[in-house]
Amino acid sequence: VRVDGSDDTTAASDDERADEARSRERLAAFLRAMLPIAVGFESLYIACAFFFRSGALAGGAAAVALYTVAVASARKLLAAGRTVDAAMRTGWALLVMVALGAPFLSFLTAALVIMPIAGVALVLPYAPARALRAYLVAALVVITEVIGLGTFVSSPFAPLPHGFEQAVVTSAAVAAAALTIRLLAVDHRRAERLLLAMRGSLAAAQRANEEKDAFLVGAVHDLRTPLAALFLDVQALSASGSAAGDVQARRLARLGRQAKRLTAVVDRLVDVARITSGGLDVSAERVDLAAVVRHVAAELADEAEAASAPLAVSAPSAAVVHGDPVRVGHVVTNLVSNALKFGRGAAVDLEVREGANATTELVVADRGIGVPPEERERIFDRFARGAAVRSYPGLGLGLWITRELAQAMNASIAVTSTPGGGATFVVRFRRAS
Amino acid sequence: MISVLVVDDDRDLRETLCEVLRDDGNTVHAANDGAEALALLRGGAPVDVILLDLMMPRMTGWEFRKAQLADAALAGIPVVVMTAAADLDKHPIDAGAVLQKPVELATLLRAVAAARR
Repeated sequence: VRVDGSDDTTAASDDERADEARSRERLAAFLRAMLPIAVGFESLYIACAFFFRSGALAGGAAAVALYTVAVASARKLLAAGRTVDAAMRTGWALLVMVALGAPFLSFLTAALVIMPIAGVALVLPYAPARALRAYLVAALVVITEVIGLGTFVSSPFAPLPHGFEQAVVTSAAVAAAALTIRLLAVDHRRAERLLLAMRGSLAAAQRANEEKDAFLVGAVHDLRTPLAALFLDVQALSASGSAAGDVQARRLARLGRQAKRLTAVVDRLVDVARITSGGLDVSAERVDLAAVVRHVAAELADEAEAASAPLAVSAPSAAVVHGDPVRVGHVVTNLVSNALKFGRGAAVDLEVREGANATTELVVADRGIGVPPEERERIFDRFARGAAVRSYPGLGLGLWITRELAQAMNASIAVTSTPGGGATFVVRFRRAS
Repeated sequence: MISVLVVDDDRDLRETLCEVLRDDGNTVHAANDGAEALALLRGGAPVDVILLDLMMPRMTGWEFRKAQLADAALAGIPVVVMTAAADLDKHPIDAGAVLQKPVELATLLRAVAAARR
């Protein structure tokens, strides 16, 4: 059975090979034609330089001589199979010739202008992008200089008949336009093929992404349903007071805590799905950050006790910021949980304070393992973890989700840390007046 | 009666494990991670079986096992690993028994009793 994509790939690479063969043939034809032309020009310039005893024409002859030698050696390179080298050498030689000959050859200005373009057309199929860019920039400089110098430096000859110059300019313009169109056509075909291939892989990626989202929706449903039953049973048991004695009550409390933990993991997975599908809905309201921090600290008291890490809250009576009340809570919860996890059982400080530029800062500081400098950006990436998974297992999603939530509320997040001396996360919310 | 050392960094799970083992008639010691377990053992806690979690901060189960085997006085204590790690094929652990979390109560008690023999 043949896979759909493989057919396209083979066809594309066949096309590419044919393209390369065609451009190699073009280069060979160009070099075959150019050598006699270059030799002819060379003889003409030398004869004229000798006849008119003109230093200017001798300079032009030197320029053409350089090009003639380059073309001859490019032919050798092509015969040896070094197509790219041959193309590049001819292209650069054209430029050097134009640059050297420019001051002496004002009457050939227009004809010479097309040469860099011809050079690009010739070099394009082979040149690596950087060399091509350099060549194009050089060509532009040379063209500008040729036109500039051609205008100011007078010809060593008496001016040619007006019609002759116009004919040269017109034919040069036509040739230049034709070459440009040809060059674009070659490029267009390539771009189209590339676009087709890209569209194919994009569609496949989209399909895979949709499947993944559907999987997540199903998984989350299957996880939440038994959790709901578990929660209700635990709460009903606690409320009925039927838990006989300390042991039962303790077990029930543990059950409730663990169910909550599972729920948090599921919620995290839902957040990931929302963020990756762009469906994160965040309202813009006025939220009292200080109240949220106090509420979260109370909610996480159990978790803090389990980590034997006291939570110290320092916040004004009210600090109103712009944000989504639920999401601000998630940001605080994630950062405190993170601090408890990596805090090595030392105290965690929570602070709400005024920041610069009309911001209110949430500061969560632990005294744990810290974040090495090279990890400080990366820890906010999806699946990234600053610590070994075997020592600190987890999804690697908490800080990523936190940053995404913060950014969705136009808040920023940053971390400072001394390795081994703890980490301090600062979220800057927009202050609401 | 078996003396079991429970090594797990999750407080709730550690407490549950201790309670069910105690209810089954064992004596129980508990440690939060490998380092604490090692200190307990070297402090002379009488332990017959170690119930060991793997992914823990400070000293992982793998590191603990290595240190235990390197210590002649402790190397003989049987170990039952109980882990939520999903890639034990890539990070194998040298232990008498390996249980995947979550584990049935009967399986857990059987494994601990079997390790003792």
